[in-house]
Amino acid sequence: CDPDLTEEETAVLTSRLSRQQQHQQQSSLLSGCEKCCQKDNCPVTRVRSAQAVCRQCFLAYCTHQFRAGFGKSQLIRAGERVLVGFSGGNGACALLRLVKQGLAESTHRKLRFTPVFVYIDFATVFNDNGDGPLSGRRAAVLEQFDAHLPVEFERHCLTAAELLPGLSEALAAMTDGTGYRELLHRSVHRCLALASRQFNCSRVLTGETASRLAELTLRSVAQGRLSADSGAFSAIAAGGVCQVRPLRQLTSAETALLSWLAADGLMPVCPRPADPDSPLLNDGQGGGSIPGVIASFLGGLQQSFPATVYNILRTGEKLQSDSVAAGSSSSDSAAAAATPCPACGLSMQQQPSGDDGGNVRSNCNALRALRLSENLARSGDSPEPSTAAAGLWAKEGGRYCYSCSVLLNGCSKRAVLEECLIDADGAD
Amino acid sequence: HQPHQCHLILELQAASPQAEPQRQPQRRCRFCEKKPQLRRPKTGHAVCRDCFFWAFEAETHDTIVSSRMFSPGERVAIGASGGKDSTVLAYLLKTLNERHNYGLDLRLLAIDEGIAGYRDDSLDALRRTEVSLGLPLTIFTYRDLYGWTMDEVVRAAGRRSNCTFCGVFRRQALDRGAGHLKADKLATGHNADDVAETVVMNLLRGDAARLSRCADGVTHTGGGLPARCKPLKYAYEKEIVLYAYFKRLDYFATECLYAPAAYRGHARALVKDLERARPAALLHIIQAAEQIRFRTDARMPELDTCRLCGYVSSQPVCKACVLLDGLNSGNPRLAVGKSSACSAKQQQQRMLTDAGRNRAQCCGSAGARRGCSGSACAAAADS
Repeated sequence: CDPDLTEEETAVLTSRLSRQQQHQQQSSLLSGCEKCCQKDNCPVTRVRSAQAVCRQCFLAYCTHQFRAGFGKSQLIRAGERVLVGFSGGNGACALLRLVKQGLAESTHRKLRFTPVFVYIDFATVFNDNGDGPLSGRRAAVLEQFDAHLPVEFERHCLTAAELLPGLSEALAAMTDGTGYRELLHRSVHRCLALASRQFNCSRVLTGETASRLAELTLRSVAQGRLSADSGAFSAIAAGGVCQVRPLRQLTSAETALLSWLAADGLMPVCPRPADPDSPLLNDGQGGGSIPGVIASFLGGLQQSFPATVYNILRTGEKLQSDSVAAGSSSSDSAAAAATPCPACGLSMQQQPSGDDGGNVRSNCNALRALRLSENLARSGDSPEPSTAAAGLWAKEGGRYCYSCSVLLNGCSKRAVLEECLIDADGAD
Repeated sequence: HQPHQCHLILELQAASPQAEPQRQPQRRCRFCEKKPQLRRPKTGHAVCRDCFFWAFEAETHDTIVSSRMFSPGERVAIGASGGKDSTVLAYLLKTLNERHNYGLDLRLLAIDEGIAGYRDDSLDALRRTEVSLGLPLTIFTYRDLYGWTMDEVVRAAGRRSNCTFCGVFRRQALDRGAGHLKADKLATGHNADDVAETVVMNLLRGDAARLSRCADGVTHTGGGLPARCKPLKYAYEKEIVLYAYFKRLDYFATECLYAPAAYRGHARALVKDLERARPAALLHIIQAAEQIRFRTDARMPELDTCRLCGYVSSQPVCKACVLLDGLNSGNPRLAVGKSSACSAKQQQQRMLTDAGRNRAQCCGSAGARRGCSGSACAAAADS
């Protein structure tokens, strides 16, 4: 109902609705599930094809989306050890439930990898020594492990402060909310990568949903990079660790509904592993952070335009990966020849090459324009900007890609942050 | 300045060097010894007015030169609406053309969509700009080109998706206008905020084809059409407002009457919030789009020409012809919104069949002219 339309216009538009839309508008709880066509099965939600489905069909839909990813990608072989990152959130609970179901003896064509469940504890990073929310979260997660994991499944609780010793200091030294959240996000994945190496696992499964991956894609764009890695089913990060996102086809709303409908007692644990009192996370003042802005924006837009998240991921599927490790194993010669950034493992982004007669794209791009604006120098009344600005016209031979450079420059203790980000023992 | 833009000026004035207690008080302009009068939204540098003009013009000159946007002797049509972006663009191009001897022949090109209370007022401002800058102005109207004004389109099609009609019609109108002026290039006033919004919008809608070219500074559409250039591509909208304000340029600033419901508004809201969180985010978004690389096996639409009007199109019939057909047949919503691919193809096929029949009746098979849909020949015969 658009308030700007007149009654006549509304009537004209309504009369032109397609048969499918009319059917959707007229369908009610009495019509039953549109998937199994059982009138006794009451629909609980609509899935991507706009079908109204009952509880059983919704659970089957989630299982199918989860299994289809493994089937199409053929990434995980029988008997492989796979690290499953468990944070206690919505996606992690859904992942645990689906992995457990997929590995059950009674499941038809059961999954055949060996899972190793790991919880990364951030309590000591934020000086939570036992009575804070993060300690409570850890206790709740360990209870969930005991209650919902079969005895034969490995489970571990690792401390982030031990895996990344300088993390607490680096977080305290970040100068803006965007850098703070970006470092937090990267540190989680660094810890999982280190854990996978410690437990001899070849893959890392994470509970990132389609909504979360769309957020990460937008965040990556806002920080200067648009590639397939942010939203892909699998991505190779720094150190050669293969991250797999089996919940890529499910939105956050669907995983939350899955927890509720499964009714097996496995529910998400709050809060998120971040310092709630940190002034850098208070998005209500001073403009907030890029991750916070994007999360609230995407959540609101998805309500009005349900295809938004899938549009973003589908666009990402058409892009090349910037991962140098992935490029060397594929036919992407450009990526294979690229120098990897030691902090993120992605190819070094194009640097402005100056006015050396090169192609237009290397001579004129946004990065070059930004550098020019930041380094303008005026000599007397000359109308021309000074060309003596160091690093502007010469090739910038930085060690890191542009996005990682911005992150490092946003920390007052750069050396400490470098130790957290750089994988000194990167496995090739 | 219009009252609704006063908030932007006040916000920018609040960003003056004296108004921000957290920053160190700036006693000198970054570039000279004078007292600073404003803080640049792009970089946060405190500068005096003259040095701001100098920096803004130097950056635009660098964008033009480094992207080899123009060649000496070219005729450049400046897409002008009377708004701040096109007014600043016209002023800048004239200034830089004289200062750096670009050797360009500059013309102003305006499109009158026929929106009462909006476009007629902005064209008045544009006529004053024509006099003050001494650049010849040519105006094309939707009525002349398509037989419809936007007010009539909105009355027929409703207020949903009216930006689709206007955007498609205006793009083609600008190209046809530039072709009529025999221009070699068409310069538009798209700024960094516009480009960033377009990148975000194309990403949100999953339009990979547009995403691949929306961040280009010079776009060659082919089909004999003039290339499009965006000299203000890296200029922030706030800085354009500041430049127009301090230069006391005469422009008209009112939001289009039909704009509030546009999808672009969502992308604009996100871009504004991102800029507030980190000012460099705008250029980061543009950089991400400039360096995008698509997979070699990714399917992309290929550009061809419309079989009815000859305009560049990825479909057999261009969107403008499809929209016009919907309007003329009394079914304006046929080509907008969620129509199935099947019905869209059926419409195109019907249009091609009708055009072929009209062409045979009009020109005959021996003398059939390319792009003749029957009506053009009939109109020429009547006149």
